[in-house]
Amino acid sequence: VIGGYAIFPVTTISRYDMFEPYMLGPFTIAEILGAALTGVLVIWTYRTSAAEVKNQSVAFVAASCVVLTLLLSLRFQLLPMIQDDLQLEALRETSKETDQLFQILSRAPNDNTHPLMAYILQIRLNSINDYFDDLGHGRFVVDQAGLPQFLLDMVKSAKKQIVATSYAQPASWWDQPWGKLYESENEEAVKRGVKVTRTFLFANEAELNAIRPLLSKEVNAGIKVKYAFVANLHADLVNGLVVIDDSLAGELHLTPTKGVKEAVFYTRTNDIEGVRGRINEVQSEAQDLEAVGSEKKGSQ
Amino acid sequence: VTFNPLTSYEIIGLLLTSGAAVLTYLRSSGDAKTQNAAMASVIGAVLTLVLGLRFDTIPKMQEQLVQADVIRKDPVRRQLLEHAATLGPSIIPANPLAVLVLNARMDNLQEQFDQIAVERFIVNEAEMPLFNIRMIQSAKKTIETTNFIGLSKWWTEPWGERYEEANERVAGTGVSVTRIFIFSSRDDMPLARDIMLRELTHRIHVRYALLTDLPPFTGDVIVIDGQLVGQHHITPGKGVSEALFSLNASDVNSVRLTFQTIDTNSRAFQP
Repeated sequence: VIGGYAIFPVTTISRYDMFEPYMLGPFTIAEILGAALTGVLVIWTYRTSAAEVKNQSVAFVAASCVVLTLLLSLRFQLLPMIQDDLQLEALRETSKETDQLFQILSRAPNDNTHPLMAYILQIRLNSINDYFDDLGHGRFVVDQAGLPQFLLDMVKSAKKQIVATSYAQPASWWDQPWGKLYESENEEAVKRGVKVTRTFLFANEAELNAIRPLLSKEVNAGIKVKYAFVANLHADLVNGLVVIDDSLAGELHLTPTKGVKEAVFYTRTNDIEGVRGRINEVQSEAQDLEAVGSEKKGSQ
Repeated sequence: VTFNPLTSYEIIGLLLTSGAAVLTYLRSSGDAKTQNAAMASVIGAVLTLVLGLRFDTIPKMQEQLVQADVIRKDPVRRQLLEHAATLGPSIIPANPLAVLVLNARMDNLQEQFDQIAVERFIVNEAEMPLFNIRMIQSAKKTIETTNFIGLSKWWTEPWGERYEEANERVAGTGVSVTRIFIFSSRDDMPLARDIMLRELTHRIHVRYALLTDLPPFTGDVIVIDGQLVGQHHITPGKGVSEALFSLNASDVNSVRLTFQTIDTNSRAFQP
């Protein structure tokens, strides 16, 4: 222990199996060392002092050493620890969110946490850390589990306009119960005056024909439906994109099999304009579904 | 000017100091009487104050800072809180939908911490592959697990091969691995035959049971070293699955009992 700080760990400890490295029971390491040193000094003083001042000298040395030990322990171990705690307490004042976070983080003690428990906890903590980072940059990620409910809330929140492209595998989205709810929520949005435009992306005609009943249903519900083939698009455009009222933009992240993995949403104007620009590019290569219907009628 | 009342430490210390000063005065001789008594008083008073500070005032302050103390001791929690505070108001979402997501994340984190406080933790579907492999690698003595073929065919998943290898490796190092495959009917058995054969050749105790022979089955269970237990759950309607793990003695006993019941009703797999 140098300057009140433990230089060599007392024992090998993992991060989640920790106690105060400079505490041993109720005493600090400095106090234990100080007490031992005091004992040695007292014995040495007793042996070397003249007979008539033996008791006085011993009492003086003992009392001085105890006071010095305690003062050093207070100054370099306990008070810095308390100061640290007070600084963390002060962080609660930064915002309502940090106060909430403080309360959550202090819920479970971290002594002797099982390594697997610690592993999962660390994943969650890192995830929320990343989430805060993203919020600071005007974006946030919604994971697969939270996506169905979030997208329903998103469509419900639209007041003027929803512009979207759709590239997800029908089985992973439109065929699911929440996909159907999402569809009906879009139809509700049209009823309350929201202009909904969706451009579907297909690899080929067969894919387009497979989903045609859904597309017709959307057209009948008043949704402006367009379609494009991915071969005509830049790879960056082949994705699920959405812009709501020019106040929120989102981009789906898909698995290699076109399943939904997660979605990133943007709240900053520049990012929203970026997504909007990409949707516009897709739309410039897309055709209206009605036009296809009339073409077919014409050719027949 | 107001004075805080003396603490009990200080009152006792001052009484002892007075006693020591009087004793010193009486026992000292000649000219040194006054000096020695003064010295004893000063040392006694300083000692009293320092001891009071160390063993009374400081612990009382620490009691008020228990929450901060928990965070301070864990670098990950501390870093997260400091990071959130550094970002300041920018972590307050401007968009109401982002507020919903933030609240959901906070609720999720709170649930995890609440569970940890009672020695439980939740592993969600996305975390399972890596977690499962770590869990197998952490086993020292025994792994006892069920595998309902109607719910999971993990060996067909991309991470299944690594999971299987981890099982085989620990079985090779002397860990006793028992896996009970559960089938809805005998017709399903060919689905898992290859993996059962492979496990058998790697010193894994392979058993099987039919669902009809078991008490109501709610999900796969796993017991690691008789200390950590896990139960798999499918969230109805959402299709999202998660597993609840526990070190809590009551949960451990309950899941071990479930496994033992299944084990009793199972048969050893013989190709």
